[in-house]
Amino acid sequence: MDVQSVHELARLLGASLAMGLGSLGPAIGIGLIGRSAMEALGRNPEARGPIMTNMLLSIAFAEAIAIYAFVVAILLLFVV
Amino acid sequence: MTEKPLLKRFPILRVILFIGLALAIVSFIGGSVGAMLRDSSPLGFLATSPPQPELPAEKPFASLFITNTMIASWISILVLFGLFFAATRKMKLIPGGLQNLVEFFCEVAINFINDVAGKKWGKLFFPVCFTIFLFVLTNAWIDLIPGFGTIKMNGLPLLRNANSDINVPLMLAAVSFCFVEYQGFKAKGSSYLKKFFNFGLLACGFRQLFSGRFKNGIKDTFMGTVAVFAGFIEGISELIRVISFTFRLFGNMMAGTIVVMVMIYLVPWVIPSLFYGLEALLGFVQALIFAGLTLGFLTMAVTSEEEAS
Amino acid sequence: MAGLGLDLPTFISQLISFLILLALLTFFGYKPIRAMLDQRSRKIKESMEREEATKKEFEQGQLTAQEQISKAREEGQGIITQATQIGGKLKEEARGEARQEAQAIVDRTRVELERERDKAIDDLRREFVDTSILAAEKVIRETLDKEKHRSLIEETLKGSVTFKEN
Repeated sequence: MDVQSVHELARLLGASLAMGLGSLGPAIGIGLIGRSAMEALGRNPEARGPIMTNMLLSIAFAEAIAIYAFVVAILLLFVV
Repeated sequence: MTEKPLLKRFPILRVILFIGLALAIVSFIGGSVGAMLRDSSPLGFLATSPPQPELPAEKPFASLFITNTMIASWISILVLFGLFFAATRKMKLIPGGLQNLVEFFCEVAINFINDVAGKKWGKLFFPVCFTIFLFVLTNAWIDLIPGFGTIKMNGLPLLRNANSDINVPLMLAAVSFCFVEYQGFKAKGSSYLKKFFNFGLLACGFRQLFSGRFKNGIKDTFMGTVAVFAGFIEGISELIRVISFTFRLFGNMMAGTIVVMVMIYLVPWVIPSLFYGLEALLGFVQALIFAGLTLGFLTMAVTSEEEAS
Repeated sequence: MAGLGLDLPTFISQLISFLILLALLTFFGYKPIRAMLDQRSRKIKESMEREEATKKEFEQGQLTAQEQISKAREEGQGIITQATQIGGKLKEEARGEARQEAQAIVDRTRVELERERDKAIDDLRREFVDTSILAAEKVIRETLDKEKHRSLIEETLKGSVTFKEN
């Protein structure tokens, strides 16, 4: 295996791992947020509006972590 | 209350759903995925080029430095300006039509900002926060207009989602950062800088060390070092915010673009439309987060610890 | 960083664009809208205050009217009672007067009647006396003079109780 293909392999592997592992935490986080939102919704269904908005905002924050991983992945793919 | 299901109330929905499903299946079989399964090339009218995301903004005019994201952001600026200009050109006490709409959104934003920052600061923060929100939102939603990215000039797209050019999020983050620091400094004066450069305790410790009170001196020197380090961390985190702001918006918009591209490549019909809906929601949420976080940091910067507690 | 698309000219151009947008929206959007919102809220406040004042005034007027009405009613009641009293008194007076008059008429009538009767009795008596005298004269023409005879009969008549009673 020459240097070029090793470099290529490392790049692809790194990008995939970054995306995959980086999504783990946010995925769990989004699941937890969704669960809490559903629980809150079940506890008082009339507060549907605020719960929905806050849930979406929290999901966006958790998702941002995955987005960082995604940025790293595309940096690896397209820039390095 | 017995409400009939939506499909029963509007029989036309069933037809639309059926047609959509049929188109999706046809494009799935005839498109790239089906081609891969069939070991042949996709059907002619379904063939799309594989996604090739381009991180830097393209320059459609060979000799100019103007990029396609610049043109897109100018368009969104024109749209926003036209909207506000048309709404406020003939202001009436009893609003109607466009004026009513724009006033309603402004009022909602003013109330939101006043709730977070208080009335006194809300008035100062409103223009920057709301402009950031509108700019990000318009950039994101203008991209969703069908045919936006298909206009080509010299083989490159003439228009592109301005948020997916890293310069725009970075610029917005820089504006937000500068505004936060400026407001913090203006509100608290030189004591604002003490948050970052906290040498007071360390100097006191050294003085005690040299004047012979070793026990207190060592303790204060240690605590002073910790305080200096904490100030350093504070400053770093303030800078990290800029990067986090930048990459949150950039990454989200880029991811959205790439997801739509990939979906168009895999299943050319129907399915990408669903992701367009997702993109619309994401654009709104990201705009809200960008403006809301700026507002939160502003509020944190101008309220002192005594006031907050 | 060039691979990411970061370059200074684009950044500066976007910054300028954003600042222009901020200025445009501030001067053409937020300022007039804020002024309009303030004006409207002021106007609404004013009109609400005015409405409040009008309401208060109306209530005050209503109260005064109520008061006046009740006062008038009281007054009317007083007048009516007074009038009733006066009427009663007047009726009483009139009745009294009528009774008196009737009494007077009755009295007068009785007096007259008595006088008539007395006169009649007198006449009768005189006639009777005259007749008696005439008769007696006829019987005893020479023995008794007229005057002496009369007084004698008179005395006799006075003594008779039954005649007096009538």
